[in-house]
Formats: sequence, structure tokens, C-alpha cells
Amino acid sequence: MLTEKAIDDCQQDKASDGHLEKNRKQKNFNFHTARKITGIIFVLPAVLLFAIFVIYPAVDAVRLSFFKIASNGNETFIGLENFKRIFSDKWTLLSIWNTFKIMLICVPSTLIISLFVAATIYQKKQRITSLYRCIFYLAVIASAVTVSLMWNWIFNAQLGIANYLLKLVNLPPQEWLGGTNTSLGCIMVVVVYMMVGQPVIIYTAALEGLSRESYEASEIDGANKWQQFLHISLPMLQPVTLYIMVISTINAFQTFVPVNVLTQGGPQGKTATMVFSLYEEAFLNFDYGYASSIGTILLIVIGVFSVAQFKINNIRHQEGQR
Amino acid sequence: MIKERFSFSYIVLNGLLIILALIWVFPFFWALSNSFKLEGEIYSAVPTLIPKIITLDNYAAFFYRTNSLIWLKNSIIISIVSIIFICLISCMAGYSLAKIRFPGSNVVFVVMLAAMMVPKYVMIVPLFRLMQSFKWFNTYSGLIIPEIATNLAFGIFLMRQFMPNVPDEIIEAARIDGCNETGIFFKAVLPLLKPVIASLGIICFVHVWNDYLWQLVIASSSKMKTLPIGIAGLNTEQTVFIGTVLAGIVFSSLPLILIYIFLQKYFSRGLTIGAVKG
Repeated sequence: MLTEKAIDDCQQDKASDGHLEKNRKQKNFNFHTARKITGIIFVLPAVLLFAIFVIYPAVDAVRLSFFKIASNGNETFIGLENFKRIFSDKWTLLSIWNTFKIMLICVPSTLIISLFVAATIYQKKQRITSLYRCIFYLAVIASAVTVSLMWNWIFNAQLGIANYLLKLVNLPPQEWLGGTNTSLGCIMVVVVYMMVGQPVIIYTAALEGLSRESYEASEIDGANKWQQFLHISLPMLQPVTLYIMVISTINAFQTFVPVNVLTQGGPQGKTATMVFSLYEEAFLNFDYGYASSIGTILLIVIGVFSVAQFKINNIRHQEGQR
Repeated sequence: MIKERFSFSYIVLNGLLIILALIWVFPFFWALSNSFKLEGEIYSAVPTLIPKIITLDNYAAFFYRTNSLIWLKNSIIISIVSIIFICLISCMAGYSLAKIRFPGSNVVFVVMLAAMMVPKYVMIVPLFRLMQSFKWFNTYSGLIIPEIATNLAFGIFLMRQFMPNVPDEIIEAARIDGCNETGIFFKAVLPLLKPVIASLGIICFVHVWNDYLWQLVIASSSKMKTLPIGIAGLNTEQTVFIGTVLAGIVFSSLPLILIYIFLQKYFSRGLTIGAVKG
């Protein structure tokens, strides 16, 4: 349709001595600018909101870490003092160590559990697969607060069912959330519980999307299911696994809700995570500068992982196109 | 045949799967069960899986003796208003970035992508001070507008990924039919975006509803608290009894769970668009 119109224009143009061509050029010019202006107007709300509520705070967060903020809002430049303090303050160091511990234990656990679940459910009937997916994703849907409170009740030292189950097998009751040895473990349980849902969905979709050819070929060669899984599925899932690993690490680093709801960082800072430490310093101690510096460290760590994820994504897309 | 089907490995693997599934369902089931128990039964030394006597006392206490209805109202208002704006602004921006090449569109997209990587916790202190200067504490604006902004990156990303599915021919056809640019967007493009809008809306609804830290920081007055914050607060109060808290937990997770069960496909589609190719 468009080309017909253009041909018509051209023919009329030749007939009427170039007059129409000028008009058409003018119309095209208006059309293109109108389009570009609309384009800019359409992005404007997003850009404005972004600039004020995302970009400015992100930049300011880093800037504030070099300042000391007084209660009246006055800012004094103190250079790297806040950062030096991070590495000498035992509570902050403990929170960093706790966060690492959570990442080191929860991320592999999540990967293994979710991969196992996905591999076991993806070939079942559609309804059953959906049911299982639903069960594991429930923990993601119900808010972290809800999930944390549910586990709070289970881990209750006097009335919780966890101690009752221990009693049934003649094991001593634990203090769970209040115990210095067990509290971080409880937090880890809640974190894994909440993290497994999304990878299950992603792995299931990925497994369903793998091409059947390699499997069929290997079946002819006599491979059993376990061999197929190890030598075909796992390698083909590698990009997805990397993606999930990075996302899970980033999420594990930001553990906050279970800590705030269940243990408030205690006992004695044994469950404080970096984000909880940030929250404490900012909103309980009102030390905005120091809190911002913790945030900056968090940003650097997560930034490194995010960039890694981005690069991995690009590699994946390239591999997928081959 | 049967031996093959129920081989040893089959039993072990599926047995483990069922055990894991039971572990994952148990906390919900346990909260649900206990929410219907009488006080005495909850505190009894021998826990019962199913309440001996089913009672609605806890729910009554939750609805009438706490501010739960106010919290619920706040959560609903915040989530719904947020997703309306998130969807609209994301569609407009995504359309513009994907279909209209204007100078700087790539820069905008890259900046948004970079901002997506900045976790919200890092920005919480400056955002807080911003709220101080805007005087947006304990207001709907303070709860809603930053939510819109921080979810935009995901929304625009999603929209831009989906835009290739809108054929350019439709846009050209609309233009030939005499639509101006806004007309093209609202009449030709937007209807085609319905599935993505549904996914985006639902994912963001859940996300905004559950945004604990921001709501904790902004809404301190009991009239402005949201449902998750309110219930968490109940847990720490000495005078509130565990049954009430459990009833609150069940009540607050029920709508989200129902949304998920019935609208599952919108979640899967939205989440896997970025992760799995095709």
C-alpha cells in the first residue's frame, strides 16, 4: 500500500513539474519529526521518574558514604573514614561474614534442590508438573514476611513443631532462633525455602525446551537416564545454571526480611546481614553516612555479580544463535 | 513393564520429590491448621495436625481487634495504583524505545539496564532523605511513587523484549488510516500488548504488595501501615496472641496464592522472557 502511494506520487510529481515533490518532502519531514517528538514524549515520564527516584538516589548513596551526617542534616566530608570503620567495626565485619556464609550455603543448596525438582517433574503430565511448580513457588508468592512468620512459629522454642519433632526422635530441643549456634542456620533454611521457587520454574522451562535429538541419539547408543542427565542435560543447562547462580547470589546477599522479622540480627549479631546492618545504622542509629558506606560496599559486590550475569547472558545468546 | 516403571531409582527419586514437596507445603498447611485452633489447642504440648475443634475466633480477632482492614485497604490501594502507572509508563517507554528510533534511545535503555542492577537497599538512605524533603512520610505518594519508579526498569525491559512481537505492518496500517502517533499507540499497539501487560501487572502487583523494607521505612503510623508490615508488627506485640497472627498470615497470603494459582501462566511468561531464549 505504501509503495503504491509512493509510485502514484512520483507519477503525479513528474506530471506537475516537481511541485508535488516539495510537498511530499515537507510531509515526510513533518512526519519524521512528529514521530521523534512523540518518541521522546513517550519516554519522558519514565525518564523523569527514573532520574528522580532511581538515578539520583543511586548516585547520592555513593556520595553520602564519604560524609558524616549530623542530626540537623549538615554534611561534613570525611573521606574514607566510614570505609575504614567498616573494616574495624566488629559488628559490621560480623554482618559481612554472615552474609557470605548465607551465600556460600544457600546458593548451592538452592541450585541442587531446584535442579533436582525440575529434572524430576518436567517429564510428568502437565497438570502434575504445574502442581509441583505451584507448591515450590508458593513460598515466593506469599510475602517474605508471611513465610518468615510461618517459620517463626515452627521454630518457636517452647511451642514450635520443630522441637516437638526432635523430641519424637529423642533429640534434645534446640533454641533455634535464639540459640547462638542455630540461629543463622534457621535463617538459612528460610532463605533457601524462599529461593528455590524461581529456579524451579526456570529450570523446568529450560529442560522442556532442550532439543530431543541428542537424547534420542544417545538412547540408540544405549545410554540410561542417569547418563543422559549427566552428559546431555547438565552441559546443555550450563548457561541457565550460571544465570540462576548469579541471581541467587545477588538475592542471598540482600537477605533482610527474615532477619528483621525473626531475629533482629541477634543473638549478639550472629544473624545480622549486610542489609540489616545498613538498616540498623541508618534507621536505628541514624548514622546515614556510615550506613551509606555499607550500601556502597554492597553495591560494589552486587555490581560485580550483575556485570558477570550480563556477560553470561550475552554469551548465552551468542551460543543460542550458533 | 510394571517393574520397569516402578524401578528402584524411580521410587527413590519420586520419594525424595514428594518429601521435598511436603516440606515446602508444610509451613503453609501448619499455619492454616493452627489458625483454626482454639488457644488451648495451639499451646498444647502435643501438636495436632488437624484441629480437634475448628474455630473462627482467631480470624475474628484479626479483623476486629487489629487495624487489619485499614492495612488491607492500604496494601490494595498502593498495589493497584502502582501497577496501573507502571504498566502505562512501561508500555509507552518500551514502545518508544523499541519502535521509534529517536536520538538517544539507546543511551536511555542502557542507563535503565544499569539502574536495574542497583539493588533497592543501596538507595534506601537517599530515598529516605528525599521523602523527608518532599514530606512524603506516611503518605500514599511516598508509598506509591517510588514504587512505580523502581519497578519501571523491569517493566520497560519486559516491554522492549516483547515489542518485536508487534508487527510493524500494523503500525504502518494505522498511520495510513490517518492516526496520529498517540492514536497509533493507543488503538493499534496497546491491544496487542495485553498479554505482556497482564504478566507485568501481576508480577509487579505481587512485588509492590510484598515490598517490606520500603513500607517499613515510610509508613510508621498505624493508619498508613500495609498488611505485611502490620502483621509483622503484631508478632512483636506482647498482648497479641499467636493465633491472631497466624490468622493474619493466612489471610494475607491467600489472595496472592489464589492469584498465582489461577494466573500461573502470566508469571511463567514474565519470568522466563528474560531467562530462557525463545
